Amino acid sequence: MDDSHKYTSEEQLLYAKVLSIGVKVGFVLLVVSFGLYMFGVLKPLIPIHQMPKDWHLPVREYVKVTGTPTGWEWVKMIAKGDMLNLVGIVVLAGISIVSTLAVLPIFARRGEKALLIISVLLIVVLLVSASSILH
Amino acid sequence: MTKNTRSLSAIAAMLMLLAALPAWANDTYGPIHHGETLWGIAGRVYRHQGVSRDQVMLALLRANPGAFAVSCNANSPLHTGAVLKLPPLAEVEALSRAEASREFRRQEREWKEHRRTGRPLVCPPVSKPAAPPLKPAAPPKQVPPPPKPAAPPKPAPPAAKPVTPPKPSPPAAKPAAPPPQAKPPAPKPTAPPPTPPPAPAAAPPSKPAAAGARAPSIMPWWSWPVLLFVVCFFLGIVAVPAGVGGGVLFVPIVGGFFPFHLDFVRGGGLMVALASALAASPGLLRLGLASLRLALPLSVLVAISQIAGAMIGLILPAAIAQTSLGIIILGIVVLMWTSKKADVPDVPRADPLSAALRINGIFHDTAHGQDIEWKVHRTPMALGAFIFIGVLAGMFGLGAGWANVPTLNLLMGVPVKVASGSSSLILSMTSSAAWVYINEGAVLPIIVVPSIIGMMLGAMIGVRLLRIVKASAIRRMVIFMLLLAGARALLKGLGIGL
Repeated sequence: MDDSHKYTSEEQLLYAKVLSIGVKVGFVLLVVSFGLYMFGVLKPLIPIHQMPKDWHLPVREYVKVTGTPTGWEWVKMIAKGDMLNLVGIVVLAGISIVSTLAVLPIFARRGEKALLIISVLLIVVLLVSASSILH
Repeated sequence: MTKNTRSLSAIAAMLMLLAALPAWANDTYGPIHHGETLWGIAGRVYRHQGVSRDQVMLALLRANPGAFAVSCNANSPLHTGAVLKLPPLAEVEALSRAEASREFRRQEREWKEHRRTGRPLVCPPVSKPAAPPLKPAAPPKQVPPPPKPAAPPKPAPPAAKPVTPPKPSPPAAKPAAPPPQAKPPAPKPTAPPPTPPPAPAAAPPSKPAAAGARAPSIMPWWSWPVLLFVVCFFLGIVAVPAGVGGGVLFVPIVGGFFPFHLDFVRGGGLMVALASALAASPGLLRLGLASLRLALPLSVLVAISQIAGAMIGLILPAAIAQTSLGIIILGIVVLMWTSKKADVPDVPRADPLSAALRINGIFHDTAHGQDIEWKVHRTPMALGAFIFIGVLAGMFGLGAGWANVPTLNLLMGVPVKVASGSSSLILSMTSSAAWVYINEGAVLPIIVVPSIIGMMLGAMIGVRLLRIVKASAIRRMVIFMLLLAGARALLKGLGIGL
């Protein structure tokens, strides 16, 4: 007999499922893109051998000196080896938004308004922080 | 738990006190800390005295050419450990606001060009050589601003008043770039002669906020990601049995022993903590060892407060950030050493809020072979604690397992296994601080990716290790490691002996 529902709930299992898929996708993207970057398959925006000259700088100076894109500007440079790595990073950072979105219908169907509102609030906070509005 | 909350409050109070302490005294400023910038320093000295930041930066350059990697360009990094002489106000005012602004822009253009082309910057020779970086240069006999054709220099300001002799400089400070003697020829057309000292052949970068930078590494670039991978692999091995998240080990250890600026280390720490939590959460949720209902309300507050913490962290001057980090890490050491755990705390009655949200559950305790039901109390108080934890986690990129678990377990009465699992879930749900760092450009793949991979692989070994070694022994070892790293961060922040 499946004990999973004894210890967990429908929404918890769904959340775990979506999270698990996202994490796997994120890790694979991270490892592949890092390989392409390290082995020079894709030319990086900032030459990799130059990094040690700049990584001791505070981030705001680093960005100015190297021309590193901020916010979502990196998307325009996705063909660059270093920028491509951000895809995996963003998937990992954003997967909890997708997982929380996935469980909203369950809370709505059960009429659990408080948890529904809390979940929506969490999604909004994460989207705002991801949107670079605060940057 | 009240004890724990009290100690965290004390740490916060000390932080605020430290933030108020100026790093300058009398007529000197310093020693310069790793990561400190001329821009930042200029914002702190001569405040409310009617002079612009450009005026202050140029006056500091003139008074301390030897403290800069390129002695005639304010955009070049400051040597860590140097003590700056603060010239008298009259000298700061010697260059008008407009002239200072023009001159600074000229130097900025020159610096950009140097950075772009890699052509060495050549400073005109001086009669008196600049002092070595650690001891600020002999008062530069007037350095009339290198004028642009359109802006003729003012007459030389009066001789620098005698200043407090520099404090004995700490030994460290490797110069950011060895300052070879000036090659006299061909100053750039835009940079006419009148200025002093020597120039390095190739100086590390910077910009308006010239960096008080650590020396560029002599190791090849590829050695750093390899080293990060190895270190994080070992950190991953010990983190699991010690019951701490990756971030709390990563930030002080990598921040203390690697050449990266703390901003990138914090960005890396947040991503490492997030990735570790993400990897663990699905399994914990399926086993009922993490509770979504418990994590959701707490995560909202943590996510909001993490954003605030991350934004504070990114504007915090490097020295204060290092000092505060040292204090926090030492606070965590005390917390880890003294905190107790209750396997299944007694919760006589669920509080109304948790009852309304139905925050409760059941899990199977394999050690005792039985199902254990749990509920929570003191939820409103815990919500307040989590705001505080979120700010600290965002500010220092530490993750927050070290604080989440005791708060959930001892304050709310969550069984320790569910507390650990739910702490992980909360970490995975609150990526808001990580987003702030990503958007700022503080998440560098070359730092983050090998760290994440190393930590994940190490954690797999750590889980196996847990079966054969005593967790308490590893926990003691981790406490010792944190003690060293925290002390190092504190000393570094205070500019002592490093």
